[in-house]
Amino acid sequence: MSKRKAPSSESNPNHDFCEFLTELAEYEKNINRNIHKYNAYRKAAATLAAHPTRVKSGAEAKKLPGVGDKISKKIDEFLQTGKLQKLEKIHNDDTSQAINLLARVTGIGPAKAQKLVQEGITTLEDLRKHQDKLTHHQIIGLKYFDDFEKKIPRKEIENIEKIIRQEIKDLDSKYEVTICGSYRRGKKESGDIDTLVTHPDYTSQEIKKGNKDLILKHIVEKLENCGLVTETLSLGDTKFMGACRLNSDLPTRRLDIRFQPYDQYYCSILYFTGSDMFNKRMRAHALEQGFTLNEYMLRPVGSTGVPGEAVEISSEEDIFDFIDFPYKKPEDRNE
Amino acid sequence: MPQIKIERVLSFTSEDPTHNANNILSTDSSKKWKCKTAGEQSASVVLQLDQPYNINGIDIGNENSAYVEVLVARSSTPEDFKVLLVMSSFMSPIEARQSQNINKVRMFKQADLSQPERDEKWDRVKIVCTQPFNRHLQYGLSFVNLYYSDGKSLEKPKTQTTIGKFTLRPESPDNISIGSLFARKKLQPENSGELKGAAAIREATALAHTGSPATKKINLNLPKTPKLQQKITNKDDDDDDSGKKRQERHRNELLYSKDEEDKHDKIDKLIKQKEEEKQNEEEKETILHKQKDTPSKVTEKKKGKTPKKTPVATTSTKPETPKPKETLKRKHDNSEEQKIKKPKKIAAVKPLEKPAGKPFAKLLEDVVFIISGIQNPDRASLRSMALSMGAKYKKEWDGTCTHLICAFANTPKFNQVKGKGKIVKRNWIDECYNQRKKLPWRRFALDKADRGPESEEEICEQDDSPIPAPNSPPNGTNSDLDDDTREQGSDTEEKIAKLMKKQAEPKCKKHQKEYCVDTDSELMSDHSHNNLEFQNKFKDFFENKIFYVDEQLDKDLVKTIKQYIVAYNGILVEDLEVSIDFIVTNTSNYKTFKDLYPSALCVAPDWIWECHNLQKLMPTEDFIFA
Repeated sequence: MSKRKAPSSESNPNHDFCEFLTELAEYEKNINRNIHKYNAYRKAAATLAAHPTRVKSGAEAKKLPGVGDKISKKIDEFLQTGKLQKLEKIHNDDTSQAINLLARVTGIGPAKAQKLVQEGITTLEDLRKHQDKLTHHQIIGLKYFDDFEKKIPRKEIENIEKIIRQEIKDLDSKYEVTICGSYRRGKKESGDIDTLVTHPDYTSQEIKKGNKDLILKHIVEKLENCGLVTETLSLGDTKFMGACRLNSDLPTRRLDIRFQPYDQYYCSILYFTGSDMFNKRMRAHALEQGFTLNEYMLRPVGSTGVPGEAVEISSEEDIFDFIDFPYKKPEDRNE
Repeated sequence: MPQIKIERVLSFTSEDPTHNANNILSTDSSKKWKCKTAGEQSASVVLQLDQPYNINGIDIGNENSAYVEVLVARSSTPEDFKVLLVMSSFMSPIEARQSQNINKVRMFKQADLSQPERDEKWDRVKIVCTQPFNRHLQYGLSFVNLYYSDGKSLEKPKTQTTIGKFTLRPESPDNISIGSLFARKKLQPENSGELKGAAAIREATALAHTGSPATKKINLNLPKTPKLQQKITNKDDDDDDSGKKRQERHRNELLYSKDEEDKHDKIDKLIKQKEEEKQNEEEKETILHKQKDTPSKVTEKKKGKTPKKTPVATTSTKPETPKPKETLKRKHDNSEEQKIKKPKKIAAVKPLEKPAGKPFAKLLEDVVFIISGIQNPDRASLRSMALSMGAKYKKEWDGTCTHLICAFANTPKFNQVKGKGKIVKRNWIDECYNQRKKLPWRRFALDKADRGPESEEEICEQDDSPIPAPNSPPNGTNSDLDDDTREQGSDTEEKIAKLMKKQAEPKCKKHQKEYCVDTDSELMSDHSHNNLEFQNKFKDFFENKIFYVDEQLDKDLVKTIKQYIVAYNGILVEDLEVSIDFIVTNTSNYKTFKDLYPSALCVAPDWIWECHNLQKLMPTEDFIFA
């Protein structure tokens, strides 16, 4: 998942509102560490981004879902003054700025960023001098800070996808590969590359029996050998985080590969395709229908709230079908 | 994994008038439970188990439900349901919309159940069904089977009884553990040489062909000279379990070459001696089974010293003839009649087409039983009935036991025996006794799951075999008869008895029940032999005592009391008369009797049991009404 979720493009009529709401959201997440306020701002931003016309007043915005009293007042303030007092304050607060900056490094979360700032590390330069305080992941994140901030054009991902497919099918033609994320939602550019891989013989039952071998490691090795994967942030049995580069002229890109059991594949695809706001809405709907949905499985919820056994899913559509949610193509999940 | 008995349906959210909730308990797969109206949010049913169980297996037969969840609770905290089986899928959305696969059956094993619930005991089960995919279906369940762990059978594959609409034939729960077969064999009377199934038919055919009695051919299935046969039979007897051999004749043929079966004077002599000794011993024993004997023993009888009753293994039986209970009173008449009839010969009757029968006293000879949940006096009467048919009684279940006579499911013994032995209701014994034949146990299986196709045949009592009367002539009266005479005698007797029966069925019922224990050529010696045993078995401590049983007591009780009185040779009168010694009655009625018959003692039924238990006439003080 990319570091920064920007729900709207510049062409959006409510673009400026979304911008400051997202900034407030980041602030709540990184500095105040209040994930609920973060979610509230992001939801409001997502709603406004989806709104076809420009909102003319706070009162009008308040009618939209996710926009309440406080946010509508902020929209009024922004409309009247062109700025937000709260945001100004944040901008003028060095600590907040520093924390926000450090938190943009992959591997550095709000907690680590705050700790670093308390220790007097406020810039990337400081950080480079104190690499001993960082993990391998964070060091790589710092090393490719600029590259990782850059958006990846769709075309480039298409090329990377081709290589990944080719290499993995070389191992076994039965592997299935899907690149999820904003790329799958048809976006022109993405923050990172989310790849899902599965194999029909690899099911959760097999895993329970202890039949997991080093499949993902073999895959990563193969991709390293062909020169695509350049860095490894972390590598486990099911999840690889790292970086790749198509050729030396292009920036290094964040690449995640997840190796999922076959029976969980479609729930994973749904989850990693997002958007995260869409996922939230879909999960809420599932709950209303008496199901619980996560990145692994869809389960009915029993009378006492205990989730049942996972239902059998053989396509993404199945999931929508089970919870009686109108199917949306990936392109329509940009909320 | 034994199946759990579900006591009843405690409650349910709704039920269709025709597909009501109780149908869930039915094994009939056409009986289902459905909720009342289509599209209900969820439908649940709460079941009460007869006791707390550690549930470790659940079979669910679906009826239109998409998901089924099983929760458990205890009666003390009835609302505190915990999930035992999480919501499990029975239909996909597509199946639900198209109403396909509406009767899926899923069998959940211990590993499928939630922890820690599966390791605890529960007596209440709630089953919640939902069908969110099709709002036009009345949904529910067709059946639920619960299983519990009996500790031992964890690894054993579950015996499933149904797959969808198909009912699997339950396996006979004969427990064949190491050594148990031998233990059972040992317990069987040594001379239990009745013929079974095909053997009996073969034998019968042979008999029909040669016109000579079956006894002669049992061992070899070849015509032989009487002398030779005699020796062979002796040899068998010497082996102490000729019965076993007879049941497994093919083995005999494998194990014994013809040479071995041929005559060998020395050995034969020894064998004979031993046999005689053994028989002497046997006579002292009190086991009723001994009345029966192997056909092979016929030959033994000639030796004369210890005459034994020897049934000809006739197969002539009248399966449905109901025969009254024994009354010893009439024994002498019996024997006399027998004697009278003996000379008659009716050659035309061929009684051999029907399947093999057994003497009444051997009907249940392969049954070793325990009793559970039945109290005295029923228990005692049941036991004596079973014993009189040759069954063996044990206090506790062990490897040799075959049957549990049980009043209701889930007694401790029930649970112990479940899956290991045949569990029958008491009326199995009653009916066997009344109909005088061994009825297939499954018909009386206590556990529904055990009911089903009957693998056993009815084994009928052999007709017209007399039980000796007390006044029968002394031992050995007939011992000088030669083979032929005896054979003919037996043949004849069967026929006579048969005819008699036909002609005078109602009249001579009482006689018959004594007669028909066995078919025998050596009437007299049998009498004496049996008599001995009978006296041992049923002492005559009520002899010459006149009893009247208050008919206002409970019917069954009256019946039992009468049986006991008769069994111990008491005289039972139906009408009140002055000479009555004892009136068996209760506290509320005794006064009337006391006034009318001051000379009689009014006793409680307990006195009879006391006498029975201690096998002698007990003082009445503690049981008398005054």
